[in-house]
Amino acid sequence: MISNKDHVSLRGTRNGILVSISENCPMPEGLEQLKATLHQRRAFFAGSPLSLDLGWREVTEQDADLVIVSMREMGMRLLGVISTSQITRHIFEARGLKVIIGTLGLARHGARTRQGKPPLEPSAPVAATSPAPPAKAAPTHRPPAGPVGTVADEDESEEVAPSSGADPRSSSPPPTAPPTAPPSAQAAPASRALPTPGADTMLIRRTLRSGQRVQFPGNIVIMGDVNAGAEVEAEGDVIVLGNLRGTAHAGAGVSGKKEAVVVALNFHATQVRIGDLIGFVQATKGFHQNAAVMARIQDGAVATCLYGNGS
Amino acid sequence: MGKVIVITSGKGGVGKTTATANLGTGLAQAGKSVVLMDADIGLRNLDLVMGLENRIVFDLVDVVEKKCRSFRQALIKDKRFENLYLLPAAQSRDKDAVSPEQMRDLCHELKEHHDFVIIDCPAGIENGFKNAIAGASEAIVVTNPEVSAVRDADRVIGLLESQEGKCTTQLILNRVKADLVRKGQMLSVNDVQDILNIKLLGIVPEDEKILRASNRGEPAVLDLSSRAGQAYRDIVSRLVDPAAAPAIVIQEKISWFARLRRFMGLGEEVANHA
Repeated sequence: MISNKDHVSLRGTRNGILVSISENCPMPEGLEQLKATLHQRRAFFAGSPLSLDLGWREVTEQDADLVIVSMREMGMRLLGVISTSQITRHIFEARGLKVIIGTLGLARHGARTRQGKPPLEPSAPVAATSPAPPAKAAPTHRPPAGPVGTVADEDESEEVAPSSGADPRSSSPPPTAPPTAPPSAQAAPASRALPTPGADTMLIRRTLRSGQRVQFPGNIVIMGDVNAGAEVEAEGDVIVLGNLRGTAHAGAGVSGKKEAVVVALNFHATQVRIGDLIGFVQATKGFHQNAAVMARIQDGAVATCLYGNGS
Repeated sequence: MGKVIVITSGKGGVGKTTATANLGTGLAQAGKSVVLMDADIGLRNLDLVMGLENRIVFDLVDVVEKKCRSFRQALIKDKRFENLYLLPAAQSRDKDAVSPEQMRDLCHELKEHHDFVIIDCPAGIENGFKNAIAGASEAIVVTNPEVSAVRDADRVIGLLESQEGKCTTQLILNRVKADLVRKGQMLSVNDVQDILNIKLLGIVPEDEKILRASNRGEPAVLDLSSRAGQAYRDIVSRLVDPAAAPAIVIQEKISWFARLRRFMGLGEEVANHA
């Protein structure tokens, strides 16, 4: 979340940027602040779809015109306006904009996901026996990722050549994510042999707070923290690019894979589950600091080790 | 149009009611028109801490059920400030007596006539919590530097962030003991922010004077010798004008030696640690 003097805040969502302008802030001022923030992070936000949340604010005709003109000036695509005020909704509808009472409406909007994501770093080489980093994501209508080296689909991303050292390329964004799926399935570049051919991967670009729960029949990658009290359940691997303090369950469910792993940059979890085994992790100071840790089943029990050590 | 701020925490006993009373009084002292609303129906405390418990005639539930003509009848004017009002909760009802829509309408009405409407949220995440946050556009999360409080605050922040339209959350770290933090026996601000990661509004130190203030019904923000009071005064100035705010520090007891040095003019001993 980015905040600018309490009036304008931006939040990344699966359907682009959600901009909230505080109801007490005069519209021209709010739009100026928004312009400044977007200009600061041009490279990051350029061309993104944007939804405007005005809360209970009641806009005037001039305000609405100003909004539309400003959006055009900033080069942002205004998807729609969220408002709990009937007056505001009528005014924007009259200008041909989509208007919603709650953010739920955006889920069925079918907006495209963000482009221009930087490619993930190629991971350290892993031995053939252990599972490799997350497989390429695929929304349900795409064919499953074929053997390494082939192009799965002309429009979508290419597979990387089998030899090590090839750079993964960022893929073009998949079209509409199915509304029933939990937060966005975005494409992640493939890099090595796939442990679970055809597995989907869900990418979550935010921190999971206590009490929040994510379940997915595939792999889950989280760019953020998993706070204590949050739960992550995947049939495949769970990769946390941040602090893992909550409960991660890899290889969950009937079709869960026993070779699944849980990897975290900062492994602070006290309990980790793989398949139907539970491991209690002793918090030993100094061992797991500043190193990515991987948990997997070894000799019939859940064991942790340093990630990327040729393990 | 005023601001509606809800003071919430998840965990009970961390200092929401104290914060509501102190921030409200401080804002009124700064000249703002303030309404304090006690949303803890069935377990009301805000009236005690403000020292106004003997003046309650109508309460929040009466207003919502239209047993009185308007909210103005229920508002109790404070003893000390004429621009500070209290809307008490009902003691003989429970949290199902009002709905989020009713709370939203009431807050909407109140904020048209006052600069600040500060809502004291009950502990928990059920109906009481949902009612309290319904009408608010900003939230101040109060927590203690202690693992259970931080865990509950994280839950509450997650709930607030996933609400539509509510995006401003700020943090008050309450009951901080600077010497324990220094010894590593208490969570530091960084430890707490590692998990919560929201904007820090202020740090209030542990202070015995808070207890005395509650018993007397005189919020500590009025007591110039109270360190917690000083922290609340700083927070009030940050709320009034975020740009001109004093830096966030932990108010500490100044040792007699440091006092002596100051007296002798041996330079400013900065006894502040963030």
